[in-house]
Amino acid sequence: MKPHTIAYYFKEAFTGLRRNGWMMFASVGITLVMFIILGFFLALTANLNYIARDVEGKLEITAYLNENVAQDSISVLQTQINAIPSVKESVFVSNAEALTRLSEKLGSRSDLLAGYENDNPLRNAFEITTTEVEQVAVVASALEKLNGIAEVKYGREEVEKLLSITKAIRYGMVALMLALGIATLFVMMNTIRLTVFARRQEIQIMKYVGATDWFIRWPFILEGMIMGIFGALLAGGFIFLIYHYFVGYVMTEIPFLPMLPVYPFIRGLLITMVAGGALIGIIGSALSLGRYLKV
Amino acid sequence: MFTFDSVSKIYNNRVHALDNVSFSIVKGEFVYLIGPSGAGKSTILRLMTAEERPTLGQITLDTQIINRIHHNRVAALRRRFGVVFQDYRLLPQKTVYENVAFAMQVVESSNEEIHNRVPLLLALVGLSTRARSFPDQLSGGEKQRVAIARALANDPSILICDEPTGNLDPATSWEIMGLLSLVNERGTTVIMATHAKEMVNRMKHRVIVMEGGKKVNERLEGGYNN
Repeated sequence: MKPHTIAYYFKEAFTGLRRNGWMMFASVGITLVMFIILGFFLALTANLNYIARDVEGKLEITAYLNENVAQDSISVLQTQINAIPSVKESVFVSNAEALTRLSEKLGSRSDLLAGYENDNPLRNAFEITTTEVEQVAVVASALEKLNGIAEVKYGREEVEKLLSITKAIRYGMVALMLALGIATLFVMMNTIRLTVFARRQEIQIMKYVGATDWFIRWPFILEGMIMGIFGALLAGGFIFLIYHYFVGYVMTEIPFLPMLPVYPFIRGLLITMVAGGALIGIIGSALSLGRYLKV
Repeated sequence: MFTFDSVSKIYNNRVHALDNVSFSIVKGEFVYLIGPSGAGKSTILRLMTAEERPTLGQITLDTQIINRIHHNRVAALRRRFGVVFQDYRLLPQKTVYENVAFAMQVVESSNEEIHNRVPLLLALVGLSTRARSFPDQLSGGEKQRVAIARALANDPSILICDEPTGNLDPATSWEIMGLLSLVNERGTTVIMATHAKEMVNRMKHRVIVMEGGKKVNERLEGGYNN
């Protein structure tokens, strides 16, 4: 491609955008709305995933020890636990420590526990985290077989529910994004089709004097790309402002709710949307031209 | 050498536009394609530029078999033709100069080539002074001159004209015919579909007579009716 040819493509693309000013606004506007909806759902999915991963990361197994396990065999037991595949970490929690935690949880009502210090009803235990959530059940059954372990507890149902919910949400979002993407594509196609229609005579003459199909296509592809990228950037800016405000609000008002930090998230979102906008523009213009190239 | 060998064209709606037509046109010839509307003249021109493909038969230009040309090579083939239409088909938002330059731009000629060649083409068709005019400001004859300059922009070896004088008054038609003869004298093959009887009878060239999709007559130096 020669430089002056590339300059020609851009000049023609901008001429096309200017000539169909109102349609361009409509197209960018609809792309903007689509991308705001898309961006909103992307933000929601990303945050749900983030929360899910956060909860997943906190899922742990508690293995209670037999009353009669001697103090010095506890470290032997811990070595055995750590040798089980998929075990990430094991922490020994003595019954005294467990009692302290409980009294902290009760806060002002810790007086309820008065008298238990000397006759601790709680058991020594190991808190075990796994490298993958899917391995919790396997690790738990391995723990049960160890000598000195009385009982193994973990949120089996909670784990399974959480996994199925995050999976369902992920699938739902993918389907929704596909639907929105296709809708955007159709709007874009209609706009470019109008541009193409307005220039059908030019295209016909280009075909007659021997312009190649790609030479004819490029300005329209650029036109679609520019509209898509422009709409995506505007939507990205809008979502950035809203999300920035929203994260600030959540951090002060609901501090225990984990949220994706603004910057890496917005960067990823912008890259995704700009690439998506460009792609939709390219596909839209390529599809709109088809019939007019058959001269 | 342009050869049609037993070419038939049947459209999807079963209209037999061409029925077993054969002829050859030698480089540098001036050929009239004549006959009433619907005789198949336009179909022949569309087959030449690979806008349509024949149903049967073979079309060759020099050594290239046009009816089997790959889609990707049609653009290269078209650069060997210039095409002139009855309705001029100029771009209204471009000036005379730009309309001619456009044909060179789209085949990726350099700005320098365009700058050098367009004034020569405008001089050839006698429109040097109208370079900055828009098509709306031109008469029919002037518009057709611009169209001819544009058709010649990429130095084609064959000029295909579909009723080039169809919208013009007799005096202007003669001017256009004079210009086409001049182009032909310079070595360009001219193939012209027309039903302008008087023109064909007075400006004698080879005639191929079409009727109902069939070639009914062919004369080397002929008029319309003899």
